[in-house]
Amino acid sequence: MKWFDDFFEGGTRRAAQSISRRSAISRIGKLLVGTAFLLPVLPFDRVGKAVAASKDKHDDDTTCEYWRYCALDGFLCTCCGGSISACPPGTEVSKVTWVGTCHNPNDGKDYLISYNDCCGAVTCGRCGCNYNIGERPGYRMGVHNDINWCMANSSNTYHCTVAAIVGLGES
Amino acid sequence: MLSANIRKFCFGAVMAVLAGPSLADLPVETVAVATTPPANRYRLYLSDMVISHFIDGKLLILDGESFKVLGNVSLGLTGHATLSPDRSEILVSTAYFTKLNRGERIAELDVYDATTLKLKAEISVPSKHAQSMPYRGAVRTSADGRFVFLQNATPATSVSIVDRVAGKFVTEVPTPGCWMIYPAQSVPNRFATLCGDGTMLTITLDAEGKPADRKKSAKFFDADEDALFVAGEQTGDNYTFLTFKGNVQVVNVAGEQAVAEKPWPLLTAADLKAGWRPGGYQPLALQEKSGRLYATMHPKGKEGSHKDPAKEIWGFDLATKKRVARVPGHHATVLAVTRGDEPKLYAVSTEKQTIAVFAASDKLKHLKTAGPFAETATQLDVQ
Repeated sequence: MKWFDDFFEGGTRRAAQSISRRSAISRIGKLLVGTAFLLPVLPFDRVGKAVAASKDKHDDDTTCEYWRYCALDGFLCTCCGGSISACPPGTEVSKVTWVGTCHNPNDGKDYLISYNDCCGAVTCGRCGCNYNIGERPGYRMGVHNDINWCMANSSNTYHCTVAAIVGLGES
Repeated sequence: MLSANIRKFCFGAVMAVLAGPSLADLPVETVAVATTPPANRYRLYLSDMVISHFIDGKLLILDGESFKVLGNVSLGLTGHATLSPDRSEILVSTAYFTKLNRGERIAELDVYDATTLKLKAEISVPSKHAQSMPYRGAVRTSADGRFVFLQNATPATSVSIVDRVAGKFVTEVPTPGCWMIYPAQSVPNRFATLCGDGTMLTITLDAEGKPADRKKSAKFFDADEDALFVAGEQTGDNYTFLTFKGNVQVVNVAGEQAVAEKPWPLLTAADLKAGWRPGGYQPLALQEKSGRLYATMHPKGKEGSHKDPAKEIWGFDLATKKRVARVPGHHATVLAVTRGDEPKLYAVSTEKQTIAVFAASDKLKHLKTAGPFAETATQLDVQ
């Protein structure tokens, strides 16, 4: 889930941000094949990308400045009993997802990141982060962040969000 | 040494003085349930999705003059609220799980009496309502109030049609790639929706509420280069929107196809250079009678800053399209202005959950800031 930023001042505005290439669309399209839902029209024409500005925090996955969170909006699962790529115990992984391209300052490479929501438990409410780079209203649903991405799960209460690497971005 | 009787007398006299004159007992009371007082034009409806526990959102009803809380309506799981055209009912598109965070998901249109705030009808609808933040346009009525249009997202988008008079769900209209509902005023069976390809899709219903016609407008915006905020202001058949980069776009939805006017800029060349942009969740308010438009603005805007709170609130004369007011922004992300005479502009801070109120008759005059009233309110409607 990607919610809104004003409640989540921590870190989001402090990061330097930029828009990724439109050529990421094809890669994201491939990723979506693996999800339970295919959107009527692939809406991803832009993907959030940010470069963490704060070097002392870009390796701490419990802070908003962690490099993989460049396009994440929601509560960090690393603060809720999960890990960077695992939902907390007792929850389930969302069937639909939002993808971003983030720059890893440690190796200088861009990575495609899948922001899966973790669903089925009441909202964690800890470590809220948000970016709106490339975000658009719901007429571009795939890049809309004011909606619950647990919506396609049978138990679709939102708990938190993970940020898993799913491939290399284009250099 | 005083005798015992004298000591008793003195003690009694002192106690009588301390107790003051004898008072009658307070009357016994009977506990009752209040109703809201008669609504005036300054009544406010604040939608709060309570993001940290959003299975139980609420609609807060306020007196916009005294800022007295008049009551609350339960919004359920990411519920969306709208008023009936005559303001007698509050309509809520929402869902509930049978076991709080799990179990069967029950979706319905809940109808509340706007005076007693009592639930007066529950109409079952498909379990598809958009689990989004509250936005105007996520649920709307037809101009005559007969039909209610509910935004769905699974994430495929569609609109559920409810016949309010018959009290039943009619049908679901697919609206792929389109979002939010903008009913026509002069044609009750018609609504439009904004689409990601830069058009509006207009749906015309038959007498039973089933889709009879659907037509797309010409392309009039670019969602990549300068997207439209979906929170538009309605005046008759016209909807006024802001774009992310600070242009004003009016669209008429009366016909079978929506027709967009030529956009005009809020920004001067100097404003553009300073990077001023609109931001927030409801960044536009339009006062029809005085011909004023208000916007939440921030400088140094860039891609991704479209939800930033206001550094300033700007007012424009719609006739001349010139800026006529410029005041501190009070961190506002939401604006709403009252109708008719002696308008007041309300500016909600998402960070602080306060509401700043301005006299909006001429220049904007800050009257006071009240609250906080909510946890994470992002939508404000006026009577």
